[in-house]
This record gives sequence, C-alpha cells and structure tokens, in this order.
Amino acid sequence: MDYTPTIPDELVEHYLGKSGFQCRDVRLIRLVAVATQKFIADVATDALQHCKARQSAIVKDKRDKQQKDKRLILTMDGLSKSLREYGVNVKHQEYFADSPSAGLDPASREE
Amino acid sequence: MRSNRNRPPAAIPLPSTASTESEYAFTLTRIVVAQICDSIGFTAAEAPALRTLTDVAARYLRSIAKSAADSANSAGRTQSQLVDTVAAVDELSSVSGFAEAWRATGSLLNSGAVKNLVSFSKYSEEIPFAKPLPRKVFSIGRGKGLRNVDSNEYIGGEGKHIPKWLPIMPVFEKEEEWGGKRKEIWGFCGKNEEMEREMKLEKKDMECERKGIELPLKRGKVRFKIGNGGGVVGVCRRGGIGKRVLCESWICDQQNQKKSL
Repeated sequence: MDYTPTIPDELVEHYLGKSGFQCRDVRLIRLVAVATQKFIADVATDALQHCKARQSAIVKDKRDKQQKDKRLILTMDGLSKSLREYGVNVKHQEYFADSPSAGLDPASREE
Repeated sequence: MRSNRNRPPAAIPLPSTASTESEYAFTLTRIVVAQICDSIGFTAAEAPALRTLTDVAARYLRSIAKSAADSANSAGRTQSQLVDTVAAVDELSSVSGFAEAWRATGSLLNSGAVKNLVSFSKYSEEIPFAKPLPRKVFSIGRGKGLRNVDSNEYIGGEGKHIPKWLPIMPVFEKEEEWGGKRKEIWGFCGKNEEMEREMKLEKKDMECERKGIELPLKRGKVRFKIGNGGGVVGVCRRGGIGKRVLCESWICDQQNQKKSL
C-alpha cells in the first residue's frame, strides 16, 4: 500500500539519526512515521472525547442559558487525561495567569 | 469582555526564524501535530497543550529509534532492519495493548501492532505536510557527524548521534601479506586533514592567549559596593579596589574565627 504519512521523511530521518538508527530504506522510515502519526492521532482522539464530554456536562448544568462557545479546543486538561492512559504523566500548574477571565465561570464571562 | 474570536491566533514561527537544527525540527513537528489535531476535529489548541503533544511526539520517535538501534546492536549489526523496527513498535504499543499481544507469532508481519498500523493507513485520510521540505534539509551546512574520509563528504542522516569531539573514523587502507597470512591495515587516510585541523586550533589558542595578555588601552570605569546586612563593610573606590576588599573580608573572617573560639 502506498501511503504517505503526514510526518515528512526528512524529519523522521533527522530524529532517527540523532538516536543512532541507521537505515537507508525509506519504507522503514515511513513505518516509523505511520506509527508515530497513529499514536498522536489516538491521543488527540481521546482528548477530543474528553473535550466533548466536558462541553456536554456544562450544557446540562446551564440548560437555560445558551452556550455560545462550542468550539473544540485542545486543552492541557483533556490532553493530560488522555496521555495518562498511554503511560505519560503530565503535570501542569493549577493556576494560569494568562487572562483575567481564566478562572471565571463561563456564564459570567459572557456578561 | 473580549471574545476568543477577536483574539489574534497564536502564531506558529516560521522555520526560517528557528536558530538551531533541533529548534527547526521541533517547529516542523509542531506543525505536523497541529495538522493531525485539525484532521481529528479540533478547531484550536492551547499553546502549552500543543507544545506538550509535540514533545511527546518527538520523544516517541526518539524512543522507537533507540529501541530499534539497541536491538540491532545486540544482534551485532549497525544497520537496523525490519525486525528491529517491528520489535520497537511492538514494545511501545504494549503500554496500551493490542490484539494478539499474548501470542508469540512466527512472522513479523503478523504482529498485532503492525496490523493496527496497516488498518490505520487503510482507513485514515492522507494529510500531506503543509509545505514540501527540500531534500537533505538537515544535513546541509552540518559540521558534525561521521565523515567519510575517502569522498570528503558527510554521510547524510547517518552518524548524527556521534559527538563532534570524537576523531575521524579509521578506514580500511590496504591488505598486505604478512608471513603467509593476509592482514588488513586500518588507518587514517585523513591524517593530513587532522594535522591541519590541529594546527588551526593551536593558532586560535595562541591568538586568544595573546589577546588575553594585552590589556586594552581604554577601559571602562567599574563601580561596585559590597554590603553586609545593615552596615556597609566597604565602599570601594576606583584604583586599588582588590586589595581593600580582600583586607576587609580577611579582617571579618578573623573576627568570626575569634568569636567561634
């Protein structure tokens, strides 16, 4: 099967070469690229499910108020939950000082 | 309140702005990860989350390579083969588990992890990389790595893991008969090159030393204060600073010693 992975061959070659993997066969390099792409896609799919579940929970809580922001955003919260299933423990700060609305309730944010 | 839509999107730095090779590789990986996330259904990503996922992707690639290289080395080979790569993929997939992982299969292609990869490539859509990369983008202008002495060229992609400070690899020179037995002679064809390199380094050192001895004629004024808690121990003036500071600190040390005794 002729499948071109998203990760370019040169990039994979660079990482492989840095770790001592010596091979001139492009098929092997593409196999590694597909494996990595699948791993990232699996993690991202799990994070998407977490994101959707969180959004639906918020909608249930605030049924009377319309939820404007329904965009699916990859967050550290969802990512760390999905990565935990793959044996990667990600720790991030509990509080971010990125914007004044970061810790506020989504309903009050709209006002 | 400002909405999220009015906010400018997080800019992905262009590859040309990346200063080093690893930063450039990281930037490219970030673009790849962003493309994968976009294909899955995300509309946006937080910058730290994207950075974390990129880091995980890079680590995954490195660990596959390391596992495959170790497997090849333990079998007495320098070049990795399909056996090593499949073994590495199996090893990394074993964390989350895959079908028929319990069964030791005779054929490599019957491995559950590889079958998963085949089905993934069959059913997932092809997403080409945002911009085609020029060939040998990582090996151009690279000053380190294993050097092939005969051809005076760097071997692209290979030997990147070898540190820069190691000498050039010896190469097979000739075969001679020695007492009825054939003997291979290994040596440095690039001896002259190495001599030249050493000479250059020596010259550089000499220049540095010379520069170090000769002090510049015009020197800037330097002022500094040394304080100890509430009171100032010594205010240094220009000229003879070193002696005064040393003297004071020595006195302090003496007093401290007396107190402790």
